[in-house]
Amino acid sequence: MIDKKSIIKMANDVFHRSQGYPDRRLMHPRREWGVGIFFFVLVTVVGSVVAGNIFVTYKNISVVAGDSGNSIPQYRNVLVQDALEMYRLKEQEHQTLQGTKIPAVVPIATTTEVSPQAAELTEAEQGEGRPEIAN
Amino acid sequence: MITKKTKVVGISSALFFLAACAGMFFLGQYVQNEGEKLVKQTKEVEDFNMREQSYRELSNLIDSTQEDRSELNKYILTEEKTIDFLSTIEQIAIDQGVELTTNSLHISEETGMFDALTISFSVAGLQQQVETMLQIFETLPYHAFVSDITFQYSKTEGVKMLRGTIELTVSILQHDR
Repeated sequence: MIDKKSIIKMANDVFHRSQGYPDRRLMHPRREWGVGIFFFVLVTVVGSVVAGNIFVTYKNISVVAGDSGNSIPQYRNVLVQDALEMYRLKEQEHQTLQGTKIPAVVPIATTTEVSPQAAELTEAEQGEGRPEIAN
Repeated sequence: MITKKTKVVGISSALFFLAACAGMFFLGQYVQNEGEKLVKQTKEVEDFNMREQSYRELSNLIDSTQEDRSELNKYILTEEKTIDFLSTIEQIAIDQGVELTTNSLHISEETGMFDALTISFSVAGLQQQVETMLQIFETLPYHAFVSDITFQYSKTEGVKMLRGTIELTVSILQHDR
């Protein structure tokens, strides 16, 4: 039994498809063009996205001069100069002190007592030996 | 109607399309790989340049500080210089006319690059000479100090004599650390 819905469907087919004849064409220009353009746009968009991504990733590649500050040991020049100054002064003082030698003090053992007569005799002997001064 | 030619054209165009897609995919992969290689090479060049720069800076630093470091080295006592140091001390005593005998030598380990060398001397002589020698010890151009003194004063025929022990501590550099 054919129902109402199938009758309406058949009628639509008859009216909308070339006035009753089934469409047996292979090529539908609009359809083919649509599909082609669709795929073209798809490939173009996907390709552009991939190319853009690659470009953004690698556009900033360059040889950057790095900072070698952390790789070499720090030389504390101020500390070295202070230490040198201190040791130079110390050495100077050291040299000065080494230059001063305290002479050894020899203690006097005994003192000899001279008698008054012997003192007079020695003075007389010394007086004979004095040269005369000519006027 | 679908003819044989239509089928051939259809299949060949589909294959051509797939080949083009595959080509594009591999091209993208190739560019990506080459980009990664470029990044790696750039990094290697940067590392090389940095190493070269570090070497140049270190060489300049070594050359420019050679004099100061040599001079500073004179004031640092090492194990190799210990014998000469003791000879210097003995010579100082001889120059000052003081009798000096080395009693003991002791190295105590400390944190850092320096250990402490402690030398104990017995001294005897005129008070002034011993005191001058003590001053000379205190002004030795090393990281040194007189850590202990024990003196006995005496007077012989009006002359002040001094006898005792002096302990001298000097920092000694350990190259192993």
